[in-house]
Amino acid sequence: MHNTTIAAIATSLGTSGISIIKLSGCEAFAICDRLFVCPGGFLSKAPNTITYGKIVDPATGETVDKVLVSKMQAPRTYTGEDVVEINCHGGMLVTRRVLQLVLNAGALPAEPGEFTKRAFMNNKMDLLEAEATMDLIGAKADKAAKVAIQQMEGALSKELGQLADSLANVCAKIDLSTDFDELDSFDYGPQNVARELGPVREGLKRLAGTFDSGRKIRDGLLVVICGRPNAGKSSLLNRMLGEERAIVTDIPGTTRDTVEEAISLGGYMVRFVDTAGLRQGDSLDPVEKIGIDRAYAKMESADMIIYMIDMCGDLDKQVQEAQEMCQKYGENTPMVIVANKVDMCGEEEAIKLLNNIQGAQLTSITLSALNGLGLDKLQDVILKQCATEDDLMGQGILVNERQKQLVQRAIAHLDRAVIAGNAGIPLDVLYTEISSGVQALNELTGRYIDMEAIDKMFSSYCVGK
Amino acid sequence: MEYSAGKVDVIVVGAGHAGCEAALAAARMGCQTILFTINMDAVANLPCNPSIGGTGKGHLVREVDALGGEMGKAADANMIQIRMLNRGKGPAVFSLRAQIDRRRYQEHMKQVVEQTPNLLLRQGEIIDLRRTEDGEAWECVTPTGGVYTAKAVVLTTGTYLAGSIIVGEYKQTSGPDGIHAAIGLSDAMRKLGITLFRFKTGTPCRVSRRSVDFSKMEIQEGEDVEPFSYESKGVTNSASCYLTWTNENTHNIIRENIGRSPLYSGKISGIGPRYCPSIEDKVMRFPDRLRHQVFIEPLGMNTEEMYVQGMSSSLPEEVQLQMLRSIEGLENVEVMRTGYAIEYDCIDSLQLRSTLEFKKHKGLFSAGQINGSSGYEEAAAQGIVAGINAALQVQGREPMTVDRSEGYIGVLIDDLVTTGADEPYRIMTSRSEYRLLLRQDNADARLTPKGREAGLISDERWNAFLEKQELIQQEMDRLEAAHLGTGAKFQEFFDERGTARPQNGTTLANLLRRPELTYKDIEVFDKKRPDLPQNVQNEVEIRVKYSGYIKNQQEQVEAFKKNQQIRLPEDMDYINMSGLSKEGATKLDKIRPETLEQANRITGVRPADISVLLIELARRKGQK
Repeated sequence: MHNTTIAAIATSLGTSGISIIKLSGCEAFAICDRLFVCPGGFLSKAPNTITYGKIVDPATGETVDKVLVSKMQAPRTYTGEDVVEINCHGGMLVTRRVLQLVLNAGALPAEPGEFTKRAFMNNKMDLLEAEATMDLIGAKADKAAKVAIQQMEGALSKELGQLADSLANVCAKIDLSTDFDELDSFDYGPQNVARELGPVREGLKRLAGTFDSGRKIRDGLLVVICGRPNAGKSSLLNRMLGEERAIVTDIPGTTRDTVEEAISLGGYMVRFVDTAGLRQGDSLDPVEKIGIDRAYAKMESADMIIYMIDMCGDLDKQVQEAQEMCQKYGENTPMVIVANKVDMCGEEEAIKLLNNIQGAQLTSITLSALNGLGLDKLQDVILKQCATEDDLMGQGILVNERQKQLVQRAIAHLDRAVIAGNAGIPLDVLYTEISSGVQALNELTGRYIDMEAIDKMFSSYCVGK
Repeated sequence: MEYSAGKVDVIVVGAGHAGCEAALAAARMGCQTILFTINMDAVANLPCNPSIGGTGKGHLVREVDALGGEMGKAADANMIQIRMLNRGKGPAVFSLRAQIDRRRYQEHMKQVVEQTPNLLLRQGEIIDLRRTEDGEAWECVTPTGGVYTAKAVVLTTGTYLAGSIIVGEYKQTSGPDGIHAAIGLSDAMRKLGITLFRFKTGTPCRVSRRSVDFSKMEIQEGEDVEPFSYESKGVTNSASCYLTWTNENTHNIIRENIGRSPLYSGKISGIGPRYCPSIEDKVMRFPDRLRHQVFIEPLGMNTEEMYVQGMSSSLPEEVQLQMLRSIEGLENVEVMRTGYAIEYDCIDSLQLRSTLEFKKHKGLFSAGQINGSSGYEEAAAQGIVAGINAALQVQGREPMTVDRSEGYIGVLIDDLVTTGADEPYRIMTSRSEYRLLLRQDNADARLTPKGREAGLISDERWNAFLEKQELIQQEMDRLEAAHLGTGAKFQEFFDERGTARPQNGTTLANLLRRPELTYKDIEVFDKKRPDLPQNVQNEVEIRVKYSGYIKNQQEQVEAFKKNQQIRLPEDMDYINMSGLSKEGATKLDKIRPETLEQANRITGVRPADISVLLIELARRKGQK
C-alpha cells in the first residue's frame, strides 16, 4: 500500500553515545545506498546483516560519520517493509545531518507513530498490541515496560477473546432457543442467561479493576506531599530526587505552584507532587491561593498522600490539620503522616504525637528530610503501594482511558442483561443488551473502529517508532 | 425457426412465489410485463409444506405485504388454520404461521395475476437468454421459436432449473411435483459468464388421512389472531393439525440406512441447525435427542392428502415407509406421494447487487431459489424487490433497496449478496442484528413508505397506514403521561397478583414495563383508555413495555448506519493492497462490497483487514 519510504531519528533527542536513524519502505535500501559507502556496496549485502562503513554527502563527497548499518528485509521486519537502521556515532548535530541527507536522497520524514502504524497496517500487530507498543515507548520505568511487553504479546487480546467467546456462546444459545420451535426440549430461558453471564461479567470487572493498576504502572504512582509551609516538603522531594529541583527557601509559601517530579523507585515510576503550603488566612495573595486550590485538586486524584508535620512548628494546629486530612481522604487514599525535622526536635516526642492521629489507611513515620533519617522507611511504604501490581503480571491489563470506557460500557450492558434475565424479560429482548456489550468489546479489539480513532491513536505517539 | 413474438418492458421467467411477486410489482408500477410459466397449472405452487409463515418467515410475509405484495393477501384468503408461534418467547420472534389450502391458493394467485392490467401470464419454457444485438435489451426464447424482447428480465426459476429428483438410488430429471424441469437456460446463463452452483433440498411424504390414527396424537387448533395482510379483514380456522413424535426405533431405522441417503453427505458442516434439515440430518446431527416433532397437516379442504412436516427425507422409498410406520399414530400409514430430494441449478448470489440485478448484466435480475435461498416467503421477498427494481430501471427511476436495519428482506438480500449462500439460505430471526426493531407487528411502519414510493400502495391504504401510526403514537404518549391513582382497590390488585406495590404517582407506561403485567392487565387503572384496534394495542404494548431495549437497539442501528456511510470506492485494488490477508483480499476483490460495513460482514475478512481498509481510505482522503 505504501510506495513512500519514511525516515526518522529513532533514539531520544539528547546527547548519547549512539543515535539511530531508521528508514522503512520499498526504497529504504536504495536510499541508504546513495549515502552509505562500504566495501562491495550496500545493495550486495545479505538481509539481516550489519555492515560497517561511512556516510558520505553525495554532493560534496565529504565523510559525515562512520556508521554501522543494519539491513532488514520485508516482510519479517517491525513494519513489514524493508527497514534500514543507521547507527551514528557522532552527536546530535551529526545525526541530524545524516537524517537530512537521507531525506535529500528521497525519504519522507515520518509522522508521529508512522512506523507502528505501518506495522499495524501490515498485519504485524493488532490494535491492542499497537497500543501496547506505544505504551512501551512511553514507558519511563522497568515495570511499565514489562507490562507493555506483556500486552504487546497479546495478554489483553487473549483474555478479551475468551470473554467474547463466552458471550458468543450465550448468544448462540439464545438464537437456538428463539429460532427453533422444534427444539422445544432445549430448555434455555432468561434465568439461564443471567446465570451464564456471571463469569463474563466477573472477567470484565477484573479487567476494569486493572485499569487503575495499569495506569499506576504506565503513568506512575501519584504521591502528593502536603503540609504547612516550611514543613520541609521541598527538602523531602529534593532528597528523593537527589537533586535541587524544587525551590527551597526559608520564606513560608515559596512553593507557589505544584511541582511534579518522577523518579524510578524499585523499578516503578513514582510521581511526587509538592503542593503549595496549606496556609490559611487573609494574608494569602491571589497567586498563593491558586496554588492551594491546585494542591487540593491534586489530592483528589492522588494514589497516596503524605502529610508532613514540622516538629519545630505549631504542633496542635498541624495535628488537627493532619487529622482532618485523614478524615477527608483516608477512606479512599492511603495516608502517610511524616513527622519531619526529628533531627532538631526529638524523635520520641514525634512518636508520641503521631500516636494521637487516627486514620483508616494510615502509616506514621518519623523523618529528617535534611539528613535522610527515616527516608528508607518512607520509600518502603511507597513501594508497598506499587508492589501489589506484581499480582497483575501475566494478565491482561487495561492501560488507557479508551479501553477502560469500553469495558465499562460492556459491563453496564451485561449488568442490565442480568437484571432483565432475573426479571424474566424474554430472550430476544434482553439480547439487545448483550449485543451492545459485544459491540463495545468489538470496538475494544478493533473489529469496529473509526478512522478518527486510529489517526488520533497513532499521532499521540512519538516520531521514530 | 425463431420468430419475433413481441416486445415488452419486463419479462419474468418462472411463476412461483418470486415470479408472481416480481411480475405483479412490475405490472402494477406500469410496466408491460410477461410472466412465463412452464406449466399453467403450476402457478404459485406449494410443492413442499402447505403452509406460509413461521419464525422469521411470517415477518417476511408481512414485509412483502407492506411493500405492496400479494403473498399475505393470498395466504389470508386461502388459509385453513393460523397460529402465532413463539408466544412464550418474546415480541421479536412472535411469528404468524398459516396452513394453506394449496389448490385454492394457486387458483387465487393465478387469477390475481391474470386480472392484473399490463400483465400477461404465458405458458412456455425459456430455453435461451441473450442480449439483443444493440445490447440495449434482452431476448428470451421459447422452445417453439418465440423470441420475446424486454428491457429487463427477472429470473425466478426456483427448483426447476436443470432440476432432478432423487429418492434413494433413483434419480430422474424433473421439476417438483412431476412437472418438467427447465433445460437449456443454464447453458445460456453460463454463456453470459454467470457462475452456477448446484443445490439440493427435499420434501417429505404425503400420506392418506384415513390411514392416520389421530387419536394417538396431540391436536393443534388455530388461534384468533391478526391476518398477515394489513388489508385483510380477518382469519379463518377450519382445519386442525396434529402432533406426534419420532422415537428411538425411528432413529435406528434411519441410522441403519444412512448410507443409502444421497442428501446426507456424512459431513457435518457448520454449527447448529442452521437451516431446514431432513430427518436424517436431524438424527445424525443431534444424536442426544431421543425424539423429534412430527406435524401432520392437511393439504387443503378438498383433499385427503396430509403433509408429514419434520420428516423431509430422500432415503429410499421403502425406508421412508418403514420409518413413518415406526411413529405413533402412523403405524398403518399409506403413502400417497413419496418424499424426495431435488437438485437444481442456482447462481452464486455474490454476483448480485442489493437490487438483485446482476453486477455485470444491466437489466438482468434474479430472485428466489435461483439465488440460493429456500422457502416460499424468502422467494416472494426477493421477487418483489427484483420486480420493483426492474420496473424502476425501465422507468429511469432511482433503485429501491432495503437495508439490514429496515427489514428481514434487507437481511436476506444483504446476506445473499455479501456473504453468499453455501447451502439453501433460510431466514431466521437470529440472522438480524436488530431483531427487536424488525418485529412482525411493525413491518408496515418500516416498509409501507418504500412501497408507497414505488407506487404499490393505494391512497386508501396509505391513509389507513398514517392513521394507524398516529393512533399508536397518541396512545404511547397517553400512557407515558397517565398517572396511577392511589386508591385502596389498586393496592389490592398488586397484592393479589403477588407483585410489588408501585410508588405513588407512577405512570401507566412504567407499570406496563413490569414483565409480569400486560396492557390488558392495567386496564383496571386506566379509565380513559380509548377503544383501539387490536393491532394498535399490540404494537403499543410492545413499544412501551420494551422501550429501553428498543432504544438500545436504535443506538446500535445508528452505529451501523455510520459505518454504512463509509463507502468503498469502486477502483479499490484489493489484490495489490499490502496488508490485507490473502483470503480477505480475494473475497473483497470478488464481492466488491459497496460499504465498509458490508466488507466487515464478509466471511474471511478479518478485523485487521478492516483496519487496512480504513487506513487506505484515510490515505486517499489525505491525497485529495
